[in-house]
Amino acid sequence: MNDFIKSEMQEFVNDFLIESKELIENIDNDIISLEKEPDDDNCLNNIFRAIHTIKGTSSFMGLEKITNFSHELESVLNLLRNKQITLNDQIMDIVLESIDLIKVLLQDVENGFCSDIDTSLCKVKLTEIINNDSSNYNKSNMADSQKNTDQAAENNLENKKDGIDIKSNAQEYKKIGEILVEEKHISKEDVDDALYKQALDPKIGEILVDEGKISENTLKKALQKQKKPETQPESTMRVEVKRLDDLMNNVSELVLARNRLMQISKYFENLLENNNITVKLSELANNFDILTSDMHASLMKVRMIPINKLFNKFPRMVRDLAKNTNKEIELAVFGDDTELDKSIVEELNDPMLHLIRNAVDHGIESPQERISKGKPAKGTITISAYQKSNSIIIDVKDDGKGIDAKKVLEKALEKKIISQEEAKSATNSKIYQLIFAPGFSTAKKVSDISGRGVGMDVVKTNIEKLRGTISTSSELDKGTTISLKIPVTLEIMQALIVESYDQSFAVPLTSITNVLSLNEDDIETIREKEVLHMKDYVLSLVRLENIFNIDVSEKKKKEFVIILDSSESKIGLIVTGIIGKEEIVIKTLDSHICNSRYISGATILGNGLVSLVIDVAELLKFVLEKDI
Amino acid sequence: MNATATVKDTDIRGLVTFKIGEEEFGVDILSVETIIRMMEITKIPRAPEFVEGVINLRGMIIPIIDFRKKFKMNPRDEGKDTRIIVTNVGNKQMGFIVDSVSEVIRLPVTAIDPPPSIVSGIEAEYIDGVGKLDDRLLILINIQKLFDESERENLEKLEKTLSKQQ
Repeated sequence: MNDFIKSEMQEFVNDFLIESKELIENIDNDIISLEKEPDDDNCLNNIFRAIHTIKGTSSFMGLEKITNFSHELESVLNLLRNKQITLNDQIMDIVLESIDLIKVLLQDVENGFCSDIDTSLCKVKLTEIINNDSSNYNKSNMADSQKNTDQAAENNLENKKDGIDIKSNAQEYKKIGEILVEEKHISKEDVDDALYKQALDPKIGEILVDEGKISENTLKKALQKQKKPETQPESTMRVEVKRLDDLMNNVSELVLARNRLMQISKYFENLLENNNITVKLSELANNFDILTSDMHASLMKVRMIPINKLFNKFPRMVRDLAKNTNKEIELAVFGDDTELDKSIVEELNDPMLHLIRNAVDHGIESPQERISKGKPAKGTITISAYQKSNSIIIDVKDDGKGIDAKKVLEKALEKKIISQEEAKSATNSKIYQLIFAPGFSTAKKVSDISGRGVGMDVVKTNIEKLRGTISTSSELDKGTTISLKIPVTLEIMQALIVESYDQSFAVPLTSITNVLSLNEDDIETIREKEVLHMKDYVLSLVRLENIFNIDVSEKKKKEFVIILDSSESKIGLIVTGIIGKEEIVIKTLDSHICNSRYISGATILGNGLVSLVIDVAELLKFVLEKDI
Repeated sequence: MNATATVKDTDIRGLVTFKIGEEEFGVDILSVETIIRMMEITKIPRAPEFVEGVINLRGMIIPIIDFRKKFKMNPRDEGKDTRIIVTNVGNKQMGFIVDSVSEVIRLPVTAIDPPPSIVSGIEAEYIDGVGKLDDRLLILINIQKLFDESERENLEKLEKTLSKQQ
């Protein structure tokens, strides 16, 4: 085979893999909902179609193993569809097992080797189902029906592919006159009459208005109605992420160029007032400004994907986990159409997995225990996502046993995560934070689901990496809610530009709660540490110039305190100037030039200078460590 | 390497030459991306001493190294001839502050001698060779080496922090 054909083929295989993975992901969810409502033919049909597509494409690719296997599975699904067998737990398990096998087979194709995974056992199970049923079903008949369904499925697919389904197609071409007649604004004769006149003028609606048969408003409404169906079919295309990243880079630079242009235009405005060319330049600059902002906003939208990409995995996972632990659990998902930057959705995968596992394993009790507590036997885990200003909030809530603060404290003391002294003064929210400490686990025995004390640690590190925060609330025997707050996008964010002795730094706006102007005698000293007395608490202060060893040649009189807030604590950061708010594009710095852990990257400001971006989570950690 | 063979076109090296004090240095022209005038440099806290900071070059953030500080020469204030040579090796960029940039020359490899053990306080490992040009001597700097070095320091630092954590 020559190289060209090989690479062509590889492209096909890649497309096949992407498509199949998506299909399988949807199947998982369809199966779970089918389990709840076994009569839902729509679900069954979806599953059937998906498996059929995989079978068809894999046979075209020459991936025999997948083809043969999905053929068996398809046969079983077909029997279900034709109501020749009824869905029971046993069949459900076999179907799920088969789908897992197909996942493995697809993985093999992706990795480029054939593993010796044994499909025969599962295949036998599938065949058994088929044979059991076909006792009163003759074979030729079966082959016939198989053919028919194949045909039907193919037709279905054709339609799907074009992105239009037949119903909306018919609607699309509904004529304006018909709509008006249907809505009883005019009679059919009026329309015919107008149609006759339309031969001279193509717009029937206007003719009707002119003749006083309908009002202009009615026409507008009808016209809107006419337009609606056209927007229905969704047309999408796949784009390589790298291309989007490249585009993003270019737009980021465009934003910077725009900022420069605005400055130059301002300069000329001041220099040559009322000059013709200057006016034109500033007009152009303003236009450019708007265009760039729009372009930037729409590109950001392109990069956003709905979070259900991530949430889709959970119904299946919860089902399996519940089965393994002999619990009854219902999963409710809200706001799965909330959109987030693609890279963030990917990063959320591990933390969410751990949170859900934890909720199943430690949160929800066994049915007997729940009944004895007077709760319904079936526990509920609720995942909800929603946007709140510039952040996305994801809540993972269970109605299980809640966090026992006492037990957590005991365990933390035993594992020496906190000292006796600290334990005495620890508040509930402080105690809940302990479960995110590395090496912490209260599980009595280590199970393969959780209990090794790694999980929650992962949650915390990953969320902090995304510049997010975690907050926990819990009530004994009522349940636990863990809430994640994550910025909508990573690359671009709002920041406050501050100054410390002529060096500028950017502080992400999401972690700032307040900015105060400071008089020298406001600061008090407790045990050689500077603090500020707030209304109901004492704020410890740190100086930016001390953290970064900035030369302080002459002490500045004017100082400001920026109050930084993380899930754990608050500190005040002392700076010498506030420059303003700016939308910044973060660029990472090579670690060999910047090994300070309090800096998450650099950004280019509107004036063309580089400014360093402060990593607030790390800074807070450092200050807290020093306190202990 | 192949000094006895006749000089072919491929055996000529293009070099960008620059001055530090009275001494002349050269770097391979293929590794030079651009040469710019001094501009405002943003300092980086706790960076190695020879790292001057970072600059914004057409939207890219590039680390700047002071050539004098790197090779422990006497520091000098910037003058009107001070330039930053921005180099690019393996898709990584780095700028070097030099006293002045002289010219671009083509030097046959036959005119390049292997490096002596130490030249002008610069260890031999950073030197590709010494070029003879009429009556001038040209010290050829191995840019790749400088890039490798920063990588290596990086790894060492990482190892240290890892062992600390354990």
